[in-house]
Amino acid sequence: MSDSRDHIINRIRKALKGRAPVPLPLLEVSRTEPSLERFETALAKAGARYQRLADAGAALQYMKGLHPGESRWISCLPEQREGLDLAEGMDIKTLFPLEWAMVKGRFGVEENGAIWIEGGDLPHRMIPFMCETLAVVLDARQLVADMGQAYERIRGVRYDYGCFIAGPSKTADIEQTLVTGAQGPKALWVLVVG
Amino acid sequence: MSSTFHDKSNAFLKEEYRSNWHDKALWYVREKRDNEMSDVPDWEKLRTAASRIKAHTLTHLDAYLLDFEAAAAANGVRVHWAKDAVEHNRVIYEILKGYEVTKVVKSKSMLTEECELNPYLEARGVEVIDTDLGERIIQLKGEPPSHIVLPAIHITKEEVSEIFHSAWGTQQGNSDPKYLTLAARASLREDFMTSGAAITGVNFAIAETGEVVVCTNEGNADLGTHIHPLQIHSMGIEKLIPRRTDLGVFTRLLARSATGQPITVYTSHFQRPKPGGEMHIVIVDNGRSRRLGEETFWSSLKCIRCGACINTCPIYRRSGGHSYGHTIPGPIGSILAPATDLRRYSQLPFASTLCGSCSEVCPVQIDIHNQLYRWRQVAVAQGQVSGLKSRMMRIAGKILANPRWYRRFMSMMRWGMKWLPASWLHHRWNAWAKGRSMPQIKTKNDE
Repeated sequence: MSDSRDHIINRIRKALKGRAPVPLPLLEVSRTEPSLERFETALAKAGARYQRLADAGAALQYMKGLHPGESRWISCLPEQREGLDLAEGMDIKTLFPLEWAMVKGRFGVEENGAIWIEGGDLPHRMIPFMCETLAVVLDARQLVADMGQAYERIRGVRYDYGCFIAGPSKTADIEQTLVTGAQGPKALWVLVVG
Repeated sequence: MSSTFHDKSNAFLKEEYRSNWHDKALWYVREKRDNEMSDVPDWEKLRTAASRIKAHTLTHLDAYLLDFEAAAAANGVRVHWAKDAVEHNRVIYEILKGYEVTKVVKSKSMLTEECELNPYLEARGVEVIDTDLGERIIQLKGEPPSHIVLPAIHITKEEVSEIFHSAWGTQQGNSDPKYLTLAARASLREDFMTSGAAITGVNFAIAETGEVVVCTNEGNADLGTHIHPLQIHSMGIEKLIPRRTDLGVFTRLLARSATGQPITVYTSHFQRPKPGGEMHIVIVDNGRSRRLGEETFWSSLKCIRCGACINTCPIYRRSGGHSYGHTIPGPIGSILAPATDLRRYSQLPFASTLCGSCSEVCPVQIDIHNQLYRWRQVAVAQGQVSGLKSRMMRIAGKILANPRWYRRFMSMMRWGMKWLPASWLHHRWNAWAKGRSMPQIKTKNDE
């Protein structure tokens, strides 16, 4: 394998011989203050549902209220770890079907309604994708204005796995007709607390 | 040689309803892009930054690749290198064989299309399921993608309905996109459950952190990679960017340029294997290092595969992606393809009006239309243009270069167009008179 590596690296070095190196530009990060109102607008555009609640406990009650009598659900919030059990080393496939799941959002991005989630906050990375409805709980103070600010915020963070989620799973692959619930969650709730 | 761009696009245009529909569908995506772009005040600044970051990375690519490899290895990721398509396919097959995987789910990756991974694995007893809905449709139809972001853009919902009906027994004649999408969801859920590993493409690879970033709207890349212990990411050497913070530029440009969304639904960052899992990254050259050495054409490696140039191109919209006969169609494909095989793709640089719309929308400022023009010169210099065409061009060049000859020729043409019978002008040699009449010409006497 390392033969191929040397081969490729040498070819690149040969190709670059005599080419003027281009300097790396400095990134300008905006100083725009994020606004919750504009974040809500972006969420609506992304097809997410939005609810303002007092705290994580209220968020959990809210989701339970939306799915009365449902047993196939899981809350992965550190302070509200409830619902289905996920034992260590258990095959994640046995968790199907998962009607709804609640996870922690680290921060939201005003310009596009995306919310950053981290693998370390989840008992399994599959959970936000395998559920039919996903609820992300987000602290109202944890907002940034744009993606430039977002990446500034996670600069140097080691997260193993992380994802920006903007709305429910979507496709427009059949004649450009937008369909939500392509493969991941059919609905996304953003529950803003605090 | 198989049929040419010319023949295939002519055939595409024969079905007038269909070609009009195709044209409109793509223009709709272009308009969505314009709307989104206008909401970003610093759009041009972002394009310049993206272009410079890519130029910087490409001119330091050896160092960044080694940084990336070291960072990924420190994260517990297994990094493989592949000189060409054959080695790429073999590396992936060996990994899968090591785990006795006989069925694999794959999210969208133009690189694995380029390497023809699917037939390679299938010939060795590994079933491959493409999980992006558009890709699944064309996989069931047995066709290559016709667009890099919208692989099934050429297929009508009625055709999708027929394809799904024969594959999965969905209701005959039901072509409701929602019904069909949910049918695909159910079938793909089964495939996620019964496969043994996941393969994805890579949108960005970060040298500083050793992580790879994959953007999807459906969530299929995540469903595949998280459900299995084994995940494999295939990336071209040009996918690299130096810093994680550079994504603050690229994630603002990519989806807006591609489909007119402010961001894809999922922007997934894979940095370390899942607990108890294994993560492999295959870094592929396959001709890219050669292109990097080409003075005129190296900047085409900046491409982030958004497809904006394809959506805006008046030739692509009226020719369809399959006419190009290359994995990547449209303007960007027409400057990438000749570098791989000039003889085979010599027609593609001519499949353009050189209107420049492609360069105008490109989020990384590749001068696509200039490169198309330069490829034409290469094609002519290497004798890849028909004898008749090059003789005609030589004669035209002489006439245009000499004012006296030019005036004499023009007065002859004016006379001819005014007095010669229409049948003398409308013949198969005069492409200008195909499907339209020649313009009315005024001679001096009319004035």
